[in-house]
Amino acid sequence: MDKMKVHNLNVIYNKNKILKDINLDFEVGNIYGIIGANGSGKSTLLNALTQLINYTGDIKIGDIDIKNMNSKTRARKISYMRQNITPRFNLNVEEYISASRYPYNDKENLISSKSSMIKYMEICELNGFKDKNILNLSGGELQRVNYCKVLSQGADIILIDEGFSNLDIYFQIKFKKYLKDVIRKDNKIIIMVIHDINFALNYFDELIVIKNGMLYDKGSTVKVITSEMIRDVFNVESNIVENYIDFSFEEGE
Amino acid sequence: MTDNKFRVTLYICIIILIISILFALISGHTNIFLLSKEIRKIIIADIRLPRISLAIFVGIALAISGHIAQILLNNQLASSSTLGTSSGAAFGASLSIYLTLKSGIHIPPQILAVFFAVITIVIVLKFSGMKNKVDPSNVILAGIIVSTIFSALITLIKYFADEDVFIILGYLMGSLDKVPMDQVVVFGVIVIAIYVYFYKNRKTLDIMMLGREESILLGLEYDKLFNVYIMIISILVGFVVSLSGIIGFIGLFIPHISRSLVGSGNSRSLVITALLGAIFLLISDTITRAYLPHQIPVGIITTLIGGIFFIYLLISRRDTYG
Repeated sequence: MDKMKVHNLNVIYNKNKILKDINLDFEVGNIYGIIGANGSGKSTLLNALTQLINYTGDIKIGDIDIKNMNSKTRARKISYMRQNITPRFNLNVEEYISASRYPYNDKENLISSKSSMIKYMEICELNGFKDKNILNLSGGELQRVNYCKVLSQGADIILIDEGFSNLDIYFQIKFKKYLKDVIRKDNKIIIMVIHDINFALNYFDELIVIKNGMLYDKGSTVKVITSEMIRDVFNVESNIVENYIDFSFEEGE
Repeated sequence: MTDNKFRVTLYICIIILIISILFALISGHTNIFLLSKEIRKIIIADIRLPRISLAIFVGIALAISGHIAQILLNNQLASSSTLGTSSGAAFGASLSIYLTLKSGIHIPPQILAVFFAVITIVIVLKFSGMKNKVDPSNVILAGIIVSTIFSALITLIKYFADEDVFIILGYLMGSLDKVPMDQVVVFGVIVIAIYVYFYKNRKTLDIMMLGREESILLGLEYDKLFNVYIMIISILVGFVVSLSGIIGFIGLFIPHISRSLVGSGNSRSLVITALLGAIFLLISDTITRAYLPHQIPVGIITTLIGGIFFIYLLISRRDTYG
């Protein structure tokens, strides 16, 4: 497993620069958080990393530019749980999750595919859901299914865009703990877009702050999260007391 | 659970299809049991069998093309007519009938129908695509626009056709009349080949149901496959329209029923869609051919039933989603 390097990443959409000269290194065994205001380019960054949109610049895993990777090889290297996935067809939960094994779709891998799915369905507590129609799931249940799907894909790099927003606290805590304690230790790179800064404070190895499509700051959470940054990026006043941030909001300028 | 349900549905569909075939063979304005053996043989083998076979193959072709179109457009209310290909093919076929009437040289409608179906889809993809990127909602919009333009052109041909307009009109209404057995056989081979192709790619279709982004994330070359699949169903629709005119709504509601019976997984739904398409068109055609006065074109019946189903679908969707 190699680290991922982003060099001079630019994304232009309808003549607007959405991302400008992003340079980032992602080390193996680390969990990264990305924060920023709405529309700052967080999701765009993840979309570029997974080849969903056009960009200029280099994104390399080890020495290989992911643009040059075979599409199935890429899917074994990098997976992405997008925000607000809306299924349109009535597959059952098991069928839906089994899509995650498509990149491995040859017959030799059938057994490992099955066991990978079973393992993660257990962790996401989805065993009672196997035959349920995905169109009938609640928002939170669908997020559990999609989380299970992204883990079951077994990629080295896992991207999650606000993936836990509809989960109850039991699953929020369980999933976040599992990512940090188990998946990260498995020599993976985890990158999460998140809005809860209080949570970010104690969770990530490194935090990336994006403002107006540019890299505002990166580094350890303690270094990055300051009242000044919160004012600059989110336009909110704050008071950081030990491991807790107290926000206040003032109207007008 | 699902496997059992699928097996039961499959057997019931096969039994219904066999019964419909037998029912169609003995149905007609002449009672075959009163005829001599030789004449009975001629009526069954030369008149009823080609028509029954055509109904089955056209039913399968329409249902499968709708089934695939719905997956590609990520929309269960889409069909091959949403793509504009039916109108394009109908224009091609009308043009060849018109030219044949005017010039006296027989121009087979198949050639122009398939040609214009392909032209239509190329135009639709050109309009809707942005730098090789496929956007289903743009495809639907472009399909409707191009379809409208071709409808206007068909009207233009009708206008020029003068007193011959009835030939084109009757043709466009959608009927399974007067197609010789050799053409039915060729068409049947094409339909079965295309069906087998899609069935072999059922896993890919399963992934494509998750949409473009999810497919790409799972390592599927979505845009390339999208173009290949959409081209195949357009060619298929071209052939269908050239043989039987426009038979509406089968491509829309048969896949829908199939998915609600056995789920969307294509190892099951593709099979049931094909069978239901065959059953539905065969029964509709038998009723119009043998039991309704004046041999009403079957397209009218399918569109009536389909239209009513469509309204029911909209109402039930509205109720489900508030």
